[in-house]
Amino acid sequence: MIAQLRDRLRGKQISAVEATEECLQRIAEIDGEIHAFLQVADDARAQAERADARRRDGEDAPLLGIPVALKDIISVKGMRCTCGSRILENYQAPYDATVTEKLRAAGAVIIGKTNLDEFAMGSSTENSAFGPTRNPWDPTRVPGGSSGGSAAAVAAGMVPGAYGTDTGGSIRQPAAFCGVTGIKPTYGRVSRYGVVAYASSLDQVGPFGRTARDCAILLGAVAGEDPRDATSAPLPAEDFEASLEGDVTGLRIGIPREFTEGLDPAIRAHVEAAAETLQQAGATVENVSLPTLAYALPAYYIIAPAEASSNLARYDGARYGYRAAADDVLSMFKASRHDGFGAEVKRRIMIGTYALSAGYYDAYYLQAQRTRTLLRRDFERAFETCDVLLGPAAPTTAFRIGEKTDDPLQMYLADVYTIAVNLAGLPGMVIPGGMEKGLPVGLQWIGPAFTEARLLNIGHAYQQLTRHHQVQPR
Amino acid sequence: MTEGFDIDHVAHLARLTLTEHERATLGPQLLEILDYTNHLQELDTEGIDPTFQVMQRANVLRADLESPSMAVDEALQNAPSREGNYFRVPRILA
Repeated sequence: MIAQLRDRLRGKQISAVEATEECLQRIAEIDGEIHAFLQVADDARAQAERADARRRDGEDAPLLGIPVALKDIISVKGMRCTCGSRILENYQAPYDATVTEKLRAAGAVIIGKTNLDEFAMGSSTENSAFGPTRNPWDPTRVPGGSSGGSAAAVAAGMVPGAYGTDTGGSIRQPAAFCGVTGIKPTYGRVSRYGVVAYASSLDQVGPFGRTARDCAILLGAVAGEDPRDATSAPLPAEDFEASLEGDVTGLRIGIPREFTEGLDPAIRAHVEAAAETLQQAGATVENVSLPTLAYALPAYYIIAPAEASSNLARYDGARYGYRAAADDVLSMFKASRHDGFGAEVKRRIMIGTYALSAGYYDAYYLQAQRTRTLLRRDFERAFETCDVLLGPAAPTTAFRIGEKTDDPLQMYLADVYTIAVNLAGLPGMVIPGGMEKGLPVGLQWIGPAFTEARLLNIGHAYQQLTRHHQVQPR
Repeated sequence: MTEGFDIDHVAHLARLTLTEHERATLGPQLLEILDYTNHLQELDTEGIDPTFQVMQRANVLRADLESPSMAVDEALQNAPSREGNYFRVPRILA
């Protein structure tokens, strides 16, 4: 875990080089089976040596010498940034994302780039052009997605912390499936500069760790306003770790009935047990309602594809990425995109293009954006009487590889409990809430905008009272 | 509402070639997804403003100062085809 590793690094009980070697060894041992990584950094050891040198010089940056992995959609200068796509298979990032820059300044060792659904579109990591990632709890099952590589890498102990992106649940659902802690920050909390765009009004970067404390440390290192991202929030960086005092006395927990009605009773029992645990620690629990919730998924599958169809127009074979041979430029665009994109990316580009096309804009796109307003109002109303919402992260535990690949709509339903949070721009955290038939169940906590500190404190309090986060695969 | 869905027209707008096999598999999948999104039509959104973005910020400005930009060679390092300081592409006019 990061907090302990940091203490050992500070106490000179371990060097950054040793910590990095441990990760590299674990990756070499098990990633042949799990396939969490698309690339391991050639210079990981050199980065660790620099971190050790910085410490010898008296520096103590927040992540100095701590290995982290980045979803392969976050730019690291000099490394490939494939986005899990053939179209970017050989694309080398010419600059660092702001997240990467901040990690370098914080002293982190960027150990590698993790697998994902192509362009972060998917819920299982099966849409990667480079093969699926396997769930460390059961290699016949998916790790969730789209940040499945990052979640699996942390769950399997290949790296103590990792970053992903979450557009409709892509941090929270894999955190649940892999039994780790993950937080999708409020929209605008973390800069998106250098993070390859999928749906720009929804995308947000966030961390995975074993504990809420680790996520607080990892989030603190990358959060903050960025002049290169005009949608980053003009708020000072917070010390999320300092707010982990663990007190939930008087905390008002709301459980949306739309989250529990029709929910698998086994998963519902874990949600209720968590509420009970915190109630005994001084919180109160009430039922609330999000009446528009049923419309979140259909609204998302208009808005996200619409934004994707626009964002992915840049992959045309002209300036970077795969280019198909063709006699004229229009044929080159069409053939490059045909050859370079996988089936799910094509589906979303087609849906988005149709939804934005002449004659259909009002019925699809505008109606979806108005639905988004109703959803935001639902959350605002719920937060008038409670401080935080609790519910499931996903309708099931990790499903089998191949189980949903032929049925896109069934795959979409895997995000039914996470998607509304992106549409409303709110922070959402998932923490392990116990096991069901040998597979982890995640608990999702949702707060008002910019209450990451509150969520992480709740996660920390829960993890002081329970041991679910300590259970590890194999 | 999906009766107007013309897969070839949409593929052209999206600058995508589709094979016969893709037309056959994608077509029904796209109609199923669109049918699902048609649930949105049940909602009364009369008079509701759209939320295009949640930040509610407008016109984020910065000082107009010179700063270094990406070097030409870096910008061209991923070019599939290059000629001097330009991206080379096939003919544009038919």
